[in-house]
Amino acid sequence: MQSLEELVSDNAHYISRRVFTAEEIYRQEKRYIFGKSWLYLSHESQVPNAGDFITTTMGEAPVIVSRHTNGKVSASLNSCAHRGLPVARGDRGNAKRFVCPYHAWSYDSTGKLCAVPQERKLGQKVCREKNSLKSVPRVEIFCGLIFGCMDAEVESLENFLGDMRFYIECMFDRSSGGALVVGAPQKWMINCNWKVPVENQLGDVAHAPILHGAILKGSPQVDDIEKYGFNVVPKAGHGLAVRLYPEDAPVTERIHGMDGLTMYDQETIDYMSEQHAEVEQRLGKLRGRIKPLCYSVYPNLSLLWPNNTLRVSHPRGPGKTEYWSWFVVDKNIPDSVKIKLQRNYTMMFGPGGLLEQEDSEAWTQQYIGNSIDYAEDRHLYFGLGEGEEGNHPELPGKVGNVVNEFYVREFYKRWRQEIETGMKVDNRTFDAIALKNLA
Amino acid sequence: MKPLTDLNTHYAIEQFYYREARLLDERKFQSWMDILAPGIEYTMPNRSNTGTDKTLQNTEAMLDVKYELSQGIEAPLRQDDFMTLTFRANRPTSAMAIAENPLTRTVRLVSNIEPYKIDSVVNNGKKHKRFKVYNNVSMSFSRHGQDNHIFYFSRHDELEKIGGEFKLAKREIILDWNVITAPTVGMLL
Repeated sequence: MQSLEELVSDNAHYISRRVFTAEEIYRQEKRYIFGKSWLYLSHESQVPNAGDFITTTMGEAPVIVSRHTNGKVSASLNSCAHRGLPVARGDRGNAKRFVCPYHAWSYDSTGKLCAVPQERKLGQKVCREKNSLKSVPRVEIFCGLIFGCMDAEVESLENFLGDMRFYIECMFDRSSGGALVVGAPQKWMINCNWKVPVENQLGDVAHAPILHGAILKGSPQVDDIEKYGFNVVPKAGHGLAVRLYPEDAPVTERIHGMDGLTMYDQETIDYMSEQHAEVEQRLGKLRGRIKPLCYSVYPNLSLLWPNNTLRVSHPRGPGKTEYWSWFVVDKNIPDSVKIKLQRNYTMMFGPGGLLEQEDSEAWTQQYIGNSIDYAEDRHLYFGLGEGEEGNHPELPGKVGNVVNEFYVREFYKRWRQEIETGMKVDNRTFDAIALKNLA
Repeated sequence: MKPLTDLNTHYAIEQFYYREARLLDERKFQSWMDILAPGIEYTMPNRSNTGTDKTLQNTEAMLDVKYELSQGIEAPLRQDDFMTLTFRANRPTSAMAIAENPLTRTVRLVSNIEPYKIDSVVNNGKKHKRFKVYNNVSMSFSRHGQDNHIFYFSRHDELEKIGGEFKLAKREIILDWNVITAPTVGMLL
């Protein structure tokens, strides 16, 4: 099978359930999506000083992201050249050298092999170049967001993001201090495919008053989204939902999120209103009227602005996702306001969040539904709102109403095209029969 | 902090915990709210792998749990007060709370109850006795089908005697997990 039309129809109205469950597809995703695409690694604020590092994964591969004494950020596979053990242990830290616990081979913060203690008793020297940590060949930064790519030939990060940059700046370039991604992530395992949480944050606003009805029913925010909300695809694969307020909307409507149910006190409202002048000054009047909701950056980074969170959907198999989530806040905000915003985040989102527990449940159930027998001829329907999107006088990208699913169709068209292209280049084919559940 | 020598109080505190566990297992969440002090501080720190501080080598201090727990503006797993606990207690009673449909089943075993007497607090001009109580919980958590989980956690609580009854004034829940492998930690624990 050369074409993946059986999996994702040309217009992406129909998507096979196997896209979310088949081992074979998952292997190709690791090869052609996670191995070829820019992936979010970390934020600069997490590694501010020389020697600071965090550990993460690219797909399932363990990676160290660290800042060198020359100030540059680099990334390497976290696996010793000698016997393959991880050389950075833990979620984060500061280290001059990464030392393997097994035989003490040590590496500098760029991953270069520095010392092999056994050499002292031997005549032979180990080749430094061949036996350094494998470095992630491309690392680029936008608005403090550090991305890496395993493919040295990949397009620039700037091209990759395209007009998504216009919207990312709404969150990460709001103030002179920039953003702060705080602490170690909350991590939790969800029995779902990694693409499902991404889809949710790509612009699935439609589910909110339904799935989260227990909490959101009757919330004024739901009406606001109906009135002012748009889904946007700045570039196929990336997607987001925003609200665009009229020019005469009062500043208190346009500031930050305010979408949680946690009551903000006057200090928070005053601070955010005052700070909005800086947002308008830095980003312009138009972006002073844009209030972001949720974003996904292809393939697996998501941002949920009203609740100050950045999350990454790490694949751990077709039906396992490790979801990592951080609290993000403007660095310049006083701590007393930061705490309020942090509570607005943890109350609703993260593994203890009131809303998130419904999402995890839905995603888990979706995986079960996509694994069932006798449903090969019942592809999932993604056709809502076909062709109803278009250009907008103010917002860059393709724009549609918040229940138009074009944002997710564009994601899967890109997904299909990347896997198809990769397989063609490598002369691989899918075994169409093996993809069937009851093969 | 003084160890509790009065066995009657010790017994009453134990009974408080057994009754609390039963209320939660019987899904009497709104009744559970009645045993909370109005100013309750209820937290569950996030637990990360930070690596150890080598300057503390060869000391117990190096192993202190506090280094693994979120602090300051770092996001904990939970940070609740009376209002947000009310949301959590009421949520399962909504027919729209799909994560509670089918309902969650739990059995809690509370053990290692270790009470200490601490400084009293003054509220509205009245002095209230306070007790710090360490305790551990193992909890079977079961949902539809084969979705079964076992939780173990420690709780560092403070109980306040108000109007002759114990009320929960402070609770810190400490989980072992770095990656949460249960569907949620958002329930009342």
